[in-house]
Amino acid sequence: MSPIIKKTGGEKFTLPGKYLLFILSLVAVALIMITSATDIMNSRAFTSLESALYPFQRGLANAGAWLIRRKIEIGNIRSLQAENEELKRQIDALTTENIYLQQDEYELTNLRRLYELDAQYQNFEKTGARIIAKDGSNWYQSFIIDKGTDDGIAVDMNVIAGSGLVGRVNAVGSNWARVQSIISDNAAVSGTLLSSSDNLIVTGSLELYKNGRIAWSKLVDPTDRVAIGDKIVTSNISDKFLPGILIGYVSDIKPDANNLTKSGELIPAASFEHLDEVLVILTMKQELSEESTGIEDEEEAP
Amino acid sequence: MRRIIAYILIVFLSFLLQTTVFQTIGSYLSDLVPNLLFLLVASFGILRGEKTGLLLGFFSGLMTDLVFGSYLGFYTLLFMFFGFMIGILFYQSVEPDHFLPVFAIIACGDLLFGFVEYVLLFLLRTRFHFRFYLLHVMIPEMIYTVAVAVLLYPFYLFLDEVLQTDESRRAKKFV
Repeated sequence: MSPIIKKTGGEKFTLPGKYLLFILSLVAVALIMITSATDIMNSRAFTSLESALYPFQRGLANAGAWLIRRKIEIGNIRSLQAENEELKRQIDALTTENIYLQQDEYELTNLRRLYELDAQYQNFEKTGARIIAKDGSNWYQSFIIDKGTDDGIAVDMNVIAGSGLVGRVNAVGSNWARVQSIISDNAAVSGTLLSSSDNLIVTGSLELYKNGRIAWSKLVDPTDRVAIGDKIVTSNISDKFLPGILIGYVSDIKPDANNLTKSGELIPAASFEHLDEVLVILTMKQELSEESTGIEDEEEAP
Repeated sequence: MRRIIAYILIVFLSFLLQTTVFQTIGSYLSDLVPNLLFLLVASFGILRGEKTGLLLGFFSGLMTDLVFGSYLGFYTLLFMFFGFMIGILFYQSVEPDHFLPVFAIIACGDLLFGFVEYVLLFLLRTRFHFRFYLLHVMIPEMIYTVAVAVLLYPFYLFLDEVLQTDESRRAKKFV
């Protein structure tokens, strides 16, 4: 910061660097305060700015995918690949359906009343989307998909891949949407243990995810009903996630120091390593709860 | 003017590569990507001084925040300060075409950058397992960044020289 270094190297601006730093720091701090206190980041002006990047990201993502595909599948005929992708998409859809059917069966034997509500989940309208860019830092996991408001996507819609939950849309533009994945260290989902219907919190963890796992905690289970391999699904008390979407399988159980709750690890059902295509559920929790309360009112009336 | 266009293009390209192609490649390298934007900011901090470093940092960070941040300003500040500090400390005090010290600066800088990210993003949320993050995020990222620097830094150096000869030629013309 010595005043000796004021050489400008013949640049056009002659403002010394430290003043520039000071001014731009103030600008950045002001930006932090404005954008974290208001909802301006989701306004049209901001989201359309990012839309400008979309064609480049899409093109380069395709280029990257192309490179990798060439590397792995040298000699493969293109039509076979297309067919394969189509079939994979079908498998994904069928696996999801299958999971829901299994759940339905479970609910049917245990909670007949809930079954009727749950049966509609497989009928959720979904749309497939491609991942075109990922968070550039190595700390958090969020990614950009190639569909946006034009395809009916809105903030807080749930994203699944294969048979498991991937994350939630947290920003959307006309032709892109940003998805925060559940494995991201700053993400948390309210879940339910399918075997006992007890609620717990699933939190992403960079540390655990390096071993392919994420963490769950705050499970109240005094009678030791939780077992390794149990399914964890999204809970019905979450206001962002639809109930009954498979998150993963319990892989480790530890009692907490307070002796009241338990925590542990789970293996996510969706494979995050080579995530390429995802499904966005176009039904939102808010709509669903409005609908279902409507139905209940009708039922209770007579 | 040409210089500004060149800067805009490189920031743009670095950002796009870091979030797309390198992500795809990175998914085969334990999910890590080299920090191309840091490399860019540090390189031009060394080559052109603190003002270029901080301006490039400002816009690189702003771009990251715009696309991936939930608020603007975090990476803006971080990149800007690193660009400024590297410019202040190393502009004209290291030879830009002596690669070894330059790569050492980039390596140490990236490690420090990762450390600051860890403190602000993870330590403040009570993630205390520093050794894990050091060994699994910061150091691998540093190694990737330096590996890419071996390829990209000579290009930046070349680009800077081309722009500089171009500028001095134009300046002569006007005299």
